Amino acid sequence: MRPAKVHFTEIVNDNMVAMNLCLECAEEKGIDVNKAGSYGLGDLVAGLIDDTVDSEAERISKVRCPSCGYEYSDFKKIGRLGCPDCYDAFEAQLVQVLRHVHGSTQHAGKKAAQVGERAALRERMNVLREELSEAIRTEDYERAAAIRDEIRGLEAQVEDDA
Amino acid sequence: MSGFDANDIVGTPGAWLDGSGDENEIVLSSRVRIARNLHGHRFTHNCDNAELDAILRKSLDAARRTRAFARSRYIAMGEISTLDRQLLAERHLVSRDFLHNSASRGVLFTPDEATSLMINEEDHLRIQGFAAGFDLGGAFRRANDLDDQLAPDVEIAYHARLGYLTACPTNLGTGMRVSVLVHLPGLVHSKEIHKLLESLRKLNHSIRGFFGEGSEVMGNFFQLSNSAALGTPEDVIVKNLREMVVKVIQYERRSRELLFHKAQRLLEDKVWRAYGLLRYARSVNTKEALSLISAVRLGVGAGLVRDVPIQTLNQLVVYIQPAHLQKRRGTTMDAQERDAARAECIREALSRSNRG
Repeated sequence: MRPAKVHFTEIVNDNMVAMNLCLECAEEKGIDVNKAGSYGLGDLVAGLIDDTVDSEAERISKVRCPSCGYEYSDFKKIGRLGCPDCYDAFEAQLVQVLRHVHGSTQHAGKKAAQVGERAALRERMNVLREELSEAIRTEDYERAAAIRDEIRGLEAQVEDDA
Repeated sequence: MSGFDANDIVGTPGAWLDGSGDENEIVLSSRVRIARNLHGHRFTHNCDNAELDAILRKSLDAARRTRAFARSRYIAMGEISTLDRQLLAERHLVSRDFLHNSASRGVLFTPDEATSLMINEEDHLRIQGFAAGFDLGGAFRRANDLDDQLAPDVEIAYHARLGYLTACPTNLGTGMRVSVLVHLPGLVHSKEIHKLLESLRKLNHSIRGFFGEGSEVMGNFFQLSNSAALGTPEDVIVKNLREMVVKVIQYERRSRELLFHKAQRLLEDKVWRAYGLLRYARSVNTKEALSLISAVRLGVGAGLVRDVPIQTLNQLVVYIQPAHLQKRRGTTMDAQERDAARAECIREALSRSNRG
């Protein structure tokens, strides 16, 4: 089965028909697939992802998730991530997608069990600490200062939760 | 064997689809879905069979400890017939995705079918809470309670900044989709539905067909839901949709009044023709049936048709679907036979209510 790439809604005899089509079927129906954006509420995701076609695209699509080996190009193809860790691996690429889909990049609401949440914060701090020593090693002090501030912020959060 | 017998449930519409509840002239049912994934596992579509089995085992362990499923059996999709799977899909207990993918996939639901848990759908866990009529609070409470009951026994993939992690980024954050199944013939006939669509989109809500994403709109039945899951707390998501549905109900009522005011004879004719066809037709397909039911619903709402309870029509929406027709008849049928059985099922329901 081919992945659905075109999502649109049409009104037929006063009835609204929502459709998800692969590119081939969309073309068969006479839809100009290059005119993205004119199709209903559809999944913005597919359109957004396809828009990142520039010189960066090649490099970005090769970014790999260290946990499951998924490439960003895999996500572009099927619109789903490989594993929970992909969110960190593709963080930079996903920010734009999240902003368009949700209008936000920060969760609000129910939190997983405190244990899980604190574990996640600690994990993020470990990553940042590695980045910090890397920044210091390469004498990128501006970046090091920024990372240090972020770590302090997270430490405060962990203490608040405890 | 899971010991599931579809005959146990086919004769009742399920508590949440019994057609009762607040505002049931316009809102048939309310639903809340919560997506969760297990920490340390790939997402379902990216798993091999061994990993799917491991996820299933952990999830079932947790589910069996919940109060909600104390009296429920796990139904393995791989162990029941295609027809039974379809029956569960028609009752919204499993997604249509489960019709094609069955290995290591399954569902648990409470005896009233108002709370359910799909395992290894697009996300490892898909929790659903349902309520009849316009009752988003009731649906949310059911889904959220089950989520709370599962939490201590299974480690969930959660990110401090991004919230609950899901296979598709559209569900990220709360993992929650809140929806209502509504009947909007007034807005469709007065051509106001386009405007509604536009404003829903602007307010970050979406509108879909009867069976959710990718499904066709039939009989003027629509699903309205939130489209953003990240950045807004659950109770606010519920509140926002509730306020929107209240407005949609007002618009629908006003459209119906205007329609009857401007084109009374035309509408009355449409309603009674539909009623006549449903009372006497000998063959009808699903799409036509839903369209006729839609017209009669409009007539009941306007007080024209008095001898058919709205509840009967709401139940028919479930009973006229292919798997329900076949299971109730106890035999498989081709499309033509189903059209005949559907017409009979409708005639019986209407003449029953006619006798009062």
